[in-house]
Amino acid sequence: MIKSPKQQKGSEIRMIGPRGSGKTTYLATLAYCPKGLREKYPGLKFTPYSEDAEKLVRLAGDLLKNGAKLAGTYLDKANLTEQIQKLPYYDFQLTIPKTAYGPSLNLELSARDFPGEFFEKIAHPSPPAGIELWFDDLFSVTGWMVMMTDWQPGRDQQQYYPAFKKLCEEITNAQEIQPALKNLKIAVVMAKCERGELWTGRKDPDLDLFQVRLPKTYNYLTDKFGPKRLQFFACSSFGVLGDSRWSFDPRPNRYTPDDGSLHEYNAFLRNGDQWYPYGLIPPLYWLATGKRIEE
Amino acid sequence: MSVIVIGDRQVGKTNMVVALAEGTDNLVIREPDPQSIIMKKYNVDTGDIAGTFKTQQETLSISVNLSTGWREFQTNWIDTPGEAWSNPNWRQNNPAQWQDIKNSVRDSKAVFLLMPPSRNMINPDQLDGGLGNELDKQPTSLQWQNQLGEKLSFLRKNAPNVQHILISIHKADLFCNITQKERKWRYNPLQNFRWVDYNEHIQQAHFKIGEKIIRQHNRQAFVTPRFFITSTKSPVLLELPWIYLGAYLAND
Repeated sequence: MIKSPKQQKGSEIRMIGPRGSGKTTYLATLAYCPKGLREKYPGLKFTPYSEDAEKLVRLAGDLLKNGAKLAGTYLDKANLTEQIQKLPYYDFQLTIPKTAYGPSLNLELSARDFPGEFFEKIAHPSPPAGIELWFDDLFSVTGWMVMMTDWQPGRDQQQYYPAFKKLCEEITNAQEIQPALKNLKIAVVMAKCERGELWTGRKDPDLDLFQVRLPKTYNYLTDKFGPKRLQFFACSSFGVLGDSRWSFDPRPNRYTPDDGSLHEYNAFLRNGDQWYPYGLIPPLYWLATGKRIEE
Repeated sequence: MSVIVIGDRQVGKTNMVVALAEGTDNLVIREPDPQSIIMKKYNVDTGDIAGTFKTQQETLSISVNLSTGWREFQTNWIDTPGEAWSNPNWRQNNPAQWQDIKNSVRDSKAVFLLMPPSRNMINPDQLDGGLGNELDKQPTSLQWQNQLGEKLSFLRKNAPNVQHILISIHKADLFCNITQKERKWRYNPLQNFRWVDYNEHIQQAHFKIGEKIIRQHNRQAFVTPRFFITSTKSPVLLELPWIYLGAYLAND
């Protein structure tokens, strides 16, 4: 008798991270569940519960798979109050099949994807008016996924560390009024790890990716949070062209045109038929259950 | 969600929307009635498409055939007068209108820049009475480069938050074999249409003289342009930028 998946009660998640870090692409890829992802997790299913979640599926099908990239969302600094109210809620159920780590599970999730500029403005000395409502929303949930890349190493010192420092100060203040925040879990994800220099470090992101490439931020975070509250992950929405023993091809499934553009922001899925995302499930699984699974 | 069409006088901005109103295999303007769009744009006296002398806006409901099926979206189509782009005196003499145009560009989701072919691009054998004696009025390569550079510089300054920049060289029937292009790049929603491959092909085949300017722009801008060639004589080529844009706007 096949057991029905265990129902895991809903988790609300906020996805933050700088522009071009791949937040929406991550969600759209997850929603689309390409064949490569379903091969890794036979029985994996994304069931949208909101219209915005349905759109994610179409974004992947109409754009990503056809060699287009998703448009970023700009922070509308003149209308921040209105924008946070209208920011989409991606409500969905993710059915994760039984793994070596646990039984099959129906995860009910509701995610909001913040424009990248929000993250970039966190530590700004003069933040735009209305940004406090965004912080209120951020602190209303107990699961954050922070997506980062290391394309520009200077970001460790200039952007990530100051942003996390500011967020930690705000968490400490907010915990006084909202004790539930003591249960806040933060999944810090090194995105776009299909690049050769990162791919080999994906299995141990703490030591091989974050500590090596973003040491200032890594040291600060590990000092502030224990493993029950913060964990490091690596993911790649595009993956490599073949990462199973039957079809091994470690070339990134990513095409970057030689047109003067910054490769970090201007990359496209190279081959939609060899689409094997990596590491999309573990951070969500941990945020929802507190348990870590590995791919 | 606004799409603003910019480009010099007589490049074919209005001509393009009239051609689209006639419908293509994968794109249909549902509202307003396409016939009314066509009739409104014609100069009754000459029978030609009338030039646009002031900014015109129209809310269009468009159905587009995407990989995930037919989708409908609404867009505010803003057609700008060519004089605003080609004549600095016009801008000085019409400051309020020019400011309105700049505001519209700033607030638009997408900017569609239509460029003419340069004189050197045009194949005299393909003129076929099309441009005829008008060939000399087409920009030289240097003038074309300057036009492209000025427009991109304008967009960096006035539209830092635009999400899509599409640049098309219009009147493709004058500078390439459109039958061949149609064979290679006919859009079929049932097969993956690789937008990045099409973009790269068009950029290398037809935008070579603008390469330095484009690279310079891309180094400075977060949003990089996508390149097309269009012709009112080829619905297959004409619909491509609008299907591309439709994939975003219909899923917004």
